[in-house]
Amino acid sequence: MRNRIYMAEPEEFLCRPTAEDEAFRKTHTRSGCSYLNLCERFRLRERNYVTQYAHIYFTRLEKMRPYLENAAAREWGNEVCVKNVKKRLLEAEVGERCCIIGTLFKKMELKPSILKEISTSHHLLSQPPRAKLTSSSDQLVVEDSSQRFPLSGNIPSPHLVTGVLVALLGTAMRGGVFEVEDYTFAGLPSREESVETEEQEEEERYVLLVSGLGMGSSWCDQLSLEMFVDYVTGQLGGVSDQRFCSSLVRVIVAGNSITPETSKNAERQEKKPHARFQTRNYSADTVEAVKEMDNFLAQLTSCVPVDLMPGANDPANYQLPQQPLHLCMFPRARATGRLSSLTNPYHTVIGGTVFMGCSGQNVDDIYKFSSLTDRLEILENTLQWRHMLPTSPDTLNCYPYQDQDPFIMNTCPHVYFCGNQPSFQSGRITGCDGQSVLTICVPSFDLTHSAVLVRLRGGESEVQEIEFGTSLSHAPNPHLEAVLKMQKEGEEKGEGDGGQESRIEGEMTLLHLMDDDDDD
Amino acid sequence: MTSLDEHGGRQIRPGKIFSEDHNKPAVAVTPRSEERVLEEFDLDYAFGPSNGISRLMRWERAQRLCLNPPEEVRRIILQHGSDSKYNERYVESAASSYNSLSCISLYCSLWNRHISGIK
Repeated sequence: MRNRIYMAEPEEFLCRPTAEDEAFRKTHTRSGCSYLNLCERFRLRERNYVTQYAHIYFTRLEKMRPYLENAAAREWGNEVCVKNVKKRLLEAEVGERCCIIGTLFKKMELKPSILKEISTSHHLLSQPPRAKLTSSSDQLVVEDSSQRFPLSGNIPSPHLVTGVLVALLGTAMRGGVFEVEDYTFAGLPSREESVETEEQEEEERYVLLVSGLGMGSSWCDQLSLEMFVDYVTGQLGGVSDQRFCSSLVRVIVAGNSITPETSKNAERQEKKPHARFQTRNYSADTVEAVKEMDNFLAQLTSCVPVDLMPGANDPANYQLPQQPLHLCMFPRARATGRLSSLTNPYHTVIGGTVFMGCSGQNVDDIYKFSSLTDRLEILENTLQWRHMLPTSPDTLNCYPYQDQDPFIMNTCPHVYFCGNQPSFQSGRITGCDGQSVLTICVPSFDLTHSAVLVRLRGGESEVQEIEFGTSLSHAPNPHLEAVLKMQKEGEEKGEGDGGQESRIEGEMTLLHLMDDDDDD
Repeated sequence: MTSLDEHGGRQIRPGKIFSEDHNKPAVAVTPRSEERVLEEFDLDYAFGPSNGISRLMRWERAQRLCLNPPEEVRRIILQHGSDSKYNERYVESAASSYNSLSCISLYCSLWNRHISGIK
């Protein structure tokens, strides 16, 4: 049974008014925390869109080559590798057992292709949207700048996606196919020593992760959002709740703060000749949603620092890395000075604990193009592959870098998360050097009304889900049910429900005053 | 793929590893042979794709990735200034590798145009 990291004491609720009022006059000061923003490497300085994407693949392969050589040496012993690591795929001879390093490419029939759309007749519509675009005829190919080999043998093609760097042990056969005996990935990066030796203070500190707030939607649950804000600002619960909330040092909003509904409404509207802000008596949905977001953030930032990440539905650029949302959109929140607008992907050090994460586009994209259904497993795979967005730029749009690939993980995070997932999942993964990473799938707030609390303890951080449910019975959220049902129908192989629903026993529902079946 | 040279009879083969040339004695530096040196640097796939990137940036990228690009190339480019045509991208892409990764790049750019409504 997992230890709960926090639970309110029931005696404090509905207690008799005490004679001494000090307990109610006491103020708690929020703990301070060291903070280092490392998102600079994702900022785009000059925008040059003329270059091709081939440069990213080349840079990715060359940068990861030493890591893969080390991983191959570790796995298969020095003998095979020192003799037979091929610098170029071209050097692999037929019949020779060797180790090759290259990028994977998966030929997929169902992958949306612009050329297929253009070449077929104009009245044909594009293929209907599917949850998974895998098929049994997908073929895996390894390539580098000299040559490519189709792969066969001991390699799990359905689980892998284009853009993953791999080291393969096997033999090139006559006919051009490479027969794989064994494979390995770069593995977890090593941890930076300077971060490890941060002294652990006596004070407990927590960070709250939330994503998918979905402001501006018609079915947005205002009460849950209000509860969330009241909880974080210490206006909810008893004295111990307030004491606990004062140890909450940061709130990270991991993307999708605006609902996707607004863009759908825009498509349905006929195209107007004027911009919406120029027409009278008409306000754009996104503007209203952003104003709501500003109010929400202003309340939060009045007492806690907030990190805001852009997501797929937010008014930020479409390509990854998404640049920070412009603070001019949040004038009230910006005035408090505690709002930091950061990039997606995200990389900071909070109180000695390295946080890295994404707003969910990476996991969603890999989910579509591989047969894996467990999103936590996909997230952990990106760690093993040592690359946050392996499918970019193939199916996930990214900036055409010429001389770098900033999504390669150079240091090992303590906490690795991805936002906007259908349910909360967490796990722990250990690398070959003993570095341990806490992986978290942050659930989408508009579906599950829950946020994730992380206790900062460096490598031993702990996590718990907090639900701000507003239903008095355990009635399921109809929107969540619809989304999960659609997902199940879309999955080709019925390997059970997407992911282990690992709800930790410490889940708290704040308004369950009348509920008897507490999961103690 | 080879191309015959009228003046010196040297053939430019794709994938020729540049480092072999370090052992040859230096030839008299004429503007023509400097261009030859730069072209060979462009065609050497060990340093990555040469399309869409300036030669100096490509050299610096190769340097950062520890691929040992020849110093001579950098010297020639900087001698003529980074704004000169010596630093320009290699336009004739006859030898650049048109593998599936550059097809992906073609698809991506077409897709971008499609979704942004450019016909």
